[in-house]
Amino acid sequence: MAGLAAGVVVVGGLAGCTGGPDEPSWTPTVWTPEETVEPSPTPTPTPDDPAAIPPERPAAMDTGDTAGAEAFATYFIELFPYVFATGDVDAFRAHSHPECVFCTDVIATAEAQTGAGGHSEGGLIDIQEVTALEIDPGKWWGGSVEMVQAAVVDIDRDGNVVTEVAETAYHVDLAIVRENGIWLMREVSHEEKS
Amino acid sequence: MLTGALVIALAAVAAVAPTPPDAAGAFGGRAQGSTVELNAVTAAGKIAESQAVDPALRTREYTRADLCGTEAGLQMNADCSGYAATASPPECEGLDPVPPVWVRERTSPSDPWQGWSLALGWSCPQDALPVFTITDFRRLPITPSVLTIQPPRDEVFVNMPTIVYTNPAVQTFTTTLLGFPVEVEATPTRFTWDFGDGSEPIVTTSPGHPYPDHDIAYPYPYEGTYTITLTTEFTGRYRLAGATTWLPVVGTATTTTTSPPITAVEHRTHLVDQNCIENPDGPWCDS
Repeated sequence: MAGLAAGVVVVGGLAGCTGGPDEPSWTPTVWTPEETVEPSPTPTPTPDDPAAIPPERPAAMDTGDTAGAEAFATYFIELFPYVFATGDVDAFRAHSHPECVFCTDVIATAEAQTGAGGHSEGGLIDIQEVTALEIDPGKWWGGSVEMVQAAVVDIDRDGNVVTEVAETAYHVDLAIVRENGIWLMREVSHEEKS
Repeated sequence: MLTGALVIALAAVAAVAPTPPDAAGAFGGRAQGSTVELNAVTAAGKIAESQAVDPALRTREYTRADLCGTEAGLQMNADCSGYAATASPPECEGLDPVPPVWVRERTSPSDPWQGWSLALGWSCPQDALPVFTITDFRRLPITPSVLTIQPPRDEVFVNMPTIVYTNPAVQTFTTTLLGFPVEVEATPTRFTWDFGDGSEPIVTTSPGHPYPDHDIAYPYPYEGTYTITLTTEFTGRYRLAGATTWLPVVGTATTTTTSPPITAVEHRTHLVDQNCIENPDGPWCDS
């Protein structure tokens, strides 16, 4: 039940930010967990954060062609805010190549954040354009993505906002590989667009 | 190319205001690898691989051509509205950008080719520059350091400093790396002086200096004939000929230089009543 208790604190802290400095407008006693609820193995995110909903794995990813590579690129990037909202790195890790610098950093950062009881909120990614070019047919694609990440905040274990980043547009370059029928992100690099 | 531009941009921002800490959940705050280079190197490798196959037997073919291959007279079936095909050539530090890469395949050598498809957009030659490895570096004809000994004789005195130094000049080479012309520099950075009498070698980053500014010297404690061995460690960097950015070579190369034998002699004090002119056969009179 420790995870659920942490959830209470998080929500309470947030409400405190919007209400008066001395009187939180929201009291934890209103919220009563059902007895049958299983405690989550990862910190419980704010329930209504859309970033905490896992992105849907596109069916197009089942084929090892350029359309599949583009579908995978979209799915992998959409996993990013989910990872930081929930601390659940499993799907992201399953599609990360071991030599991928970006992927390793994401997993390490998310695990450190989760380990400290924190999480992120918001930061949903809107993919405006995704293009993949097949460099080594069936094996290696270069990807190019234009995307906008919504404003994102990091929240610590006490529910305080630690860092805030405003909405940002990026150009992203991807190196995508397909090994034994599995899509792997080989590398990601990004440039902020002005 | 892109990374360099990004670093400059970040440096400019940092000079104006302190950079706020990146949020964990911000996409731009995460470390990143050399994606553009990885893709360019992969394409270059695949081109080389396919060109090694007899054209009649190839089932895959690559070519480099500008927009949809019209300039090269090729009939590209690809959609020319793709982002990379229409993107303008990048700025490549004064080098000529490399046209897009196209690929086509056929099921077997007797089947007709399928249409060309774009495999890589415009890139810079330095993006696909293969790594100049330590093996490549060690294959360079690096000239061993010249070892100078003072006093400049084949005989030195026991318990008196024998001075050693070398010339730390940077050596430059022009070579090719998988067909790319590259410039390589070898800089001596570490020197190991073995005086050959079983004493522990002296390791320095200084190349030493001649008398009276000498900083590396060794007084032989015993008489004997010794050779001095200088082992020089070189670090390297390389760049595409004409490019401005140097890339480090990971690892070092070494050269060794051995001096001709030198003899350490003991000169004992003698009380004499005649000088060497008066008595040329006296102690320490060279006859």
